[in-house]
Amino acid sequence: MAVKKKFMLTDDLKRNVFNVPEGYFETLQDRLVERVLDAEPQQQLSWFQALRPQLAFAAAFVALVGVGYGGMVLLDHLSAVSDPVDPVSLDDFYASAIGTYNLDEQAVLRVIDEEKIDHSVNTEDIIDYLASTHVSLTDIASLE
Amino acid sequence: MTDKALVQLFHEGSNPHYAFNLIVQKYRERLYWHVRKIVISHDDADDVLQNTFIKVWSSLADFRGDSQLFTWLYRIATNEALSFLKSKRTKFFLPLGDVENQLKNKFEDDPYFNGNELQKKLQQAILKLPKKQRIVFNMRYFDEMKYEDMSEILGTSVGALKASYHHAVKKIEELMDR
Repeated sequence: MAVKKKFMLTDDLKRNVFNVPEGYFETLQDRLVERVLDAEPQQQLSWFQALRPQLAFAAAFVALVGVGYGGMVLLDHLSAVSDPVDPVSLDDFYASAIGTYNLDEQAVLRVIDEEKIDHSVNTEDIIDYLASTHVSLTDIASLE
Repeated sequence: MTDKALVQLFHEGSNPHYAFNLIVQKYRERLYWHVRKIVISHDDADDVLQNTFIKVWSSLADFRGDSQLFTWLYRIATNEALSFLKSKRTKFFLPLGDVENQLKNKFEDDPYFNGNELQKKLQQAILKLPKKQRIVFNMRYFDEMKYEDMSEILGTSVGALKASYHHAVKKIEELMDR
C-alpha cells in the first residue's frame, strides 16, 4: 500500500509566482514623479486658502445678520424716542429738579400748570409771570 | 548609496526630488512584491504602492533616522496594504474573511500569475491564514527577512513572530496535505 508523502515547505516553492506588465517599474517612476508634483501645490495650500470660500460665505452671513439686528435695534430706539413722556415720570423729574437745583417751587409749579392745563394764557398773565422773574421791563415792553 | 546617505541627501541636499527618486528606484521592486503578496492583484498592488510612496514623500521630512529607512518604508507599505483590504471590505459590505475568498478567486483569471498547480495551491493555503500571520509567513518564507527587522516593521516581539511563523508553517502543511 502506497503511503501519501507528507507535504513539506521546501525552497523550490519560494520562486516568485507573480509577474508585472512589461516596463511597469520604469513607468512607475514617472507616474510617481507626476503624482508628487501634482500633490505639492495642495500641500503648500494654507488652511486660510483652503477654507477661503467657506470663510467668505460665513462672513457674508454674519454681516447680513449684523445689519438685520442693527436695523431692528435702531427701529426700537427710534420708536422709544417718539413715545410720549409718562406724565408721572415728568412730575418726578420736576420734583427732583426743584430739589437738586434749589429752584423756586412756586415758579416751577406755575410753569408745570401752564404746560399741563392752561393752554389759553392771556397776555397779562405772561407779563405777570415775566415780571415775577428776572426779565427786565424793557424786554417785556418790547414783546408787546 | 546607503540608506543613511539617501536620507542625508534628502534633508541636506539642494534637490529633495532627486533623493526621493533614488529611494523609489532602490525600493520600488522590494516594496511592490511585499504589497503584491498581501493584496494579490497587480492593479491593487500598483495603487497601494503609489499611495505608499506618496506618503513616504510627504513624511520623509519628518523621518529623523530613529529606525532604519527600509523598515520604515516596509511599515508604511504594510499599513497601506492592510488599510486597503479593510477599506475594500467596508466598501463592499463584506463580512470578515470574504476579502480573502475574493483574493483566492483572483488566481484563476490573473494574467500576472505564472505559478504551477502546486504553487497555486500553496498561495491559496496562505490566504487561509489570519491576515497578520499571512504577512509574517510571507516576509519570513519568501523574503527571508530577519526576525529583528520584521519586529521593527510589524511592532511585534521577535518571540511572538517566531511563534506566529511556526503556527503558519504547520497550518499550511496541513492544508497542503488535504
